[in-house]
Amino acid sequence: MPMTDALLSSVEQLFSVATLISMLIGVVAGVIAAAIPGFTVTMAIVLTLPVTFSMPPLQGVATMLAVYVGGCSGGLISAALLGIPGTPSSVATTFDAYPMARGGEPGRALGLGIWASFFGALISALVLIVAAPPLALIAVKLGPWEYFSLILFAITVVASLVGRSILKGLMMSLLGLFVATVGPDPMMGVPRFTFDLDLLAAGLPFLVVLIGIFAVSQLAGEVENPDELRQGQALIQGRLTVRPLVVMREVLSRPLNLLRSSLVGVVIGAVPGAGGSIANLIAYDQAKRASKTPERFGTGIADGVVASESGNSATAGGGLIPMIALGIPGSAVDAVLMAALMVQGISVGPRLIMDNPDLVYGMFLAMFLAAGMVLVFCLLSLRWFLRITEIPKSIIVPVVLVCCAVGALALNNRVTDLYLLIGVGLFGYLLAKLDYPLAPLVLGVILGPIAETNLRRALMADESWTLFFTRPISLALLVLAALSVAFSVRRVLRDRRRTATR
Amino acid sequence: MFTRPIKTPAGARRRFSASAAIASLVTGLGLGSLGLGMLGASPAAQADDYPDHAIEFIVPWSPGGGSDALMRVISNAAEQYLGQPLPVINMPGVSGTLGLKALAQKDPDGYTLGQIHEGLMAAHATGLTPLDWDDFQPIASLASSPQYLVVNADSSWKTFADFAAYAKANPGKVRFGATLGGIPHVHGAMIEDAIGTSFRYVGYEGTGARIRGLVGGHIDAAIGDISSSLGFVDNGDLRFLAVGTPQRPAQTPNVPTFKELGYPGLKLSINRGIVAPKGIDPAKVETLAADFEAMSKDPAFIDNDARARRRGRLHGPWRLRRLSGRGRRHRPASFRQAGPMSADNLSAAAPLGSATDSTRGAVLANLLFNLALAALFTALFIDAGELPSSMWEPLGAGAFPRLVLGALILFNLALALQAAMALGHTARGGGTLAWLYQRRLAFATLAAFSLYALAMPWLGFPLASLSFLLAVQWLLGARRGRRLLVAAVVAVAFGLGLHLLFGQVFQIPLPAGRL
Repeated sequence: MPMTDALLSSVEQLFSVATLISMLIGVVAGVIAAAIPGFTVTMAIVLTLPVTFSMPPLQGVATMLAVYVGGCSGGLISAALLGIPGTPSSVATTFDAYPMARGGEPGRALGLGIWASFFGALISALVLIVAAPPLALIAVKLGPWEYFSLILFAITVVASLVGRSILKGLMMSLLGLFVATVGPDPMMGVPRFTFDLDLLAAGLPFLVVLIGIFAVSQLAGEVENPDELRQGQALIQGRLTVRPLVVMREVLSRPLNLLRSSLVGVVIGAVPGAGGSIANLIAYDQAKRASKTPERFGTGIADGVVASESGNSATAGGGLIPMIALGIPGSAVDAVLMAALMVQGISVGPRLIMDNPDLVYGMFLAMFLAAGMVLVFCLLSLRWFLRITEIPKSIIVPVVLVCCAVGALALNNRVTDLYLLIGVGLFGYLLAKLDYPLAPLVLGVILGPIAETNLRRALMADESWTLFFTRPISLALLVLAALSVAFSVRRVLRDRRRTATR
Repeated sequence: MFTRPIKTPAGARRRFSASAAIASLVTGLGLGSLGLGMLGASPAAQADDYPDHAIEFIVPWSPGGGSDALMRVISNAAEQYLGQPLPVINMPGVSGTLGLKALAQKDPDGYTLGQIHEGLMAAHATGLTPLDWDDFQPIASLASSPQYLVVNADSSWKTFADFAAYAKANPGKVRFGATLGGIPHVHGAMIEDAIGTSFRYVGYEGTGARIRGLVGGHIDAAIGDISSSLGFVDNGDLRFLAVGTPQRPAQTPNVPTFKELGYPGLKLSINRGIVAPKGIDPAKVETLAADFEAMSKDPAFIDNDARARRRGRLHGPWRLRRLSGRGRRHRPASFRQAGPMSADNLSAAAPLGSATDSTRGAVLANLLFNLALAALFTALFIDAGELPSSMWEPLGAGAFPRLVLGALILFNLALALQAAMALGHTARGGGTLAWLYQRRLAFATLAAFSLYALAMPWLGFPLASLSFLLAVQWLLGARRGRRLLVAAVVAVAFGLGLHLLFGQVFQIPLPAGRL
């Protein structure tokens, strides 16, 4: 089938009333699911899967993509308004969008995020169309050596990104790596550090750590001041005005940041397994490095929001690259999408784009369409979401805690995960009080198993350690890791000298 | 909601041929082979009033994987035959053994079923779980999936004979991808024995990851199946050398079987089945088996063509037991459990102190915290030495944790030193008690949340949530009048609302409680 025919056929299928309606429902469901702390895009997509069985292939996949794209933007809402990232991919959003909302500009924070998400999704869909096959090579050419070095790089980036002490940041990353080793070991399933407790038998699922560390400790931090609560104080005092076009201009006035962050999101997002959770942090880090005022990052500036949100939305397209080009799912969400295609009798593999061009072009178009729908829905419902900030803390804190409990329970159907959630939450509150950055810990938990598996796999394939330094991509990543530590040490020393001379 | 029955014949047809497609992709064979795997139960009367409500279906894997997708297709189609929905409950963890453990502990009342595959035999043989196939009552066996020996198309091995000759001449050279301690590993060991060599095993979590490694050239050979490998073979990236079925599967007519090549012992396939907890009423087994049988035989379920091409065979559990014997022979050197340890609990590590103001108390709190962590990690470091090493890899289960723990000890000591040095420069700050009293509501909220979690198994989700919501809102200021009324409404709405939403709409049951 020639490309134009395929394109026309997919347009015809996509712009049917039934498909548009199911996509719209998908977008709304995705945004809402991701906006509630504890609920995840993955869960929303898994729940959508059986509904798509009775739809034609493109409608089914387009609906799931709509949930996915909606979810990528929805995470912004709880990250900006509550300071709780719903998924690892919105961790960096809490760095600037939350302080901005706290500073009395919740409407601006959300507006910036929504527009940045939209442009990030657009850029990633474009890259997907133009460069999917060559980028997909990342998925197979990165061997265990490159994976391990990439994780090391990501960890040093995160550790140096947040907090005032790189020592504390690295300590938290390592703690995360250790926490991830609790439970069955990734190679053989040997139980480690479980002490024969049922509670620890399956280890600590990263989502439980994410909710516990961020949500529970964050919410406990909200109710520290009895006087505020007595007056029924809401989360944020500020103007609830939103001026969508002004904010859009603000986003577009940062074309370099937008483009760089989106490209980082696409490329890193195309790395199966690890990409989705680290792309937003690397995009944020790159924006900070390129900025003339790096010290203002983390205080609630527009550049930070734009970098993180365009970066994480672009990972939606990036994650699809290895799946469409090679049939390799980049994340749990992609795996569910693949299952949906298989149910429809479509073989997902390296020949997908040749055998089903109309479907693949339809998926690309669905990404554009979904991004547009998310934008319109979010802008229209913005006021409604902002009302969350008017609810007194005495109501929102317990309600969100219950949502977190539901999220932890529904994840694996284990009551013991709820106990873990509380243990992790208490520990997270303690860490926050001791001024430890929390993001490196969560990233460590997510990346730990990937780092360990690939380290062990590399040494099984070849016992020589030197390969980590002789394979060019691996070496480059290790050099970057060393540089990011060196730069932040230098920054700390310079700051210290500056305060000393003052 | 998502298991609604099919209304139109056309819709039914599309869905069912789609089912066949996923089965052929996921398991390599069509659902046409879904049939009875009854053990011992003589044709008994069927239970009349069973099932009268939803049957929970435990899938011991994460949502989205091959096993999960297959079970969702079956779950979706089964309602028509069982007359009741069959919601999928994912209970992943520890190579699928946690979900099966939960299944084995359920009442054998016929309202909990689960999915099983041969991985359990390997997990049993390597000591991961005491559970064995015999702990369950088989209901139906699903298609068996043929397993292939796959190599990269760039390799010089055009045939299995080439491969065998090279492997025999170069023991320990061929990098062979496998799930260590899993069925693919057993399959690899069987090939090793058959050609008289040894491979260098490289561990991967699953078939997809292994095949990705093979395509990328990071390993030389692996066990693959239709769904993971056929696309790459058709595309010219990979090459099938042989298949472990007695006859050539219809999808790969040009790939020789190990039997044809003179290795009748190499029967490589993976079998899946539907099981119930032991002790279930035989009449209920009969009902379920008949319903699944009817589902698999329904002409609408799978078109005749696909059925003829993809007919699979039923295997009884006896075959699996033989395999597990092999697994036992190739079991890892030691699988000792980590001994119990009396180190401090993480959450009880140190007193609180705020470091945002550099008061003496805060610095002291940091110092104590880092020292406590350093001590804890030292204990864990010693404990990790007990973890078994592995005969297949240079690093055992304990190496990576020890690496991390070693670094953690150093970092905590460095941080403690930093705090100790700062101690001299700090002024005396406010008392710890005042600090704690100031944050009393935060601690009370956390305490209420802990109580909520502990009480949930007894009270059930709706009641526990209702009480928690009401108590914390009261605590945080909703003491009287309108605010109290709002609090009550919120408590009822979220306590009951979330319960109904998850239980009824999403079919994810939340704890019901014992009251």
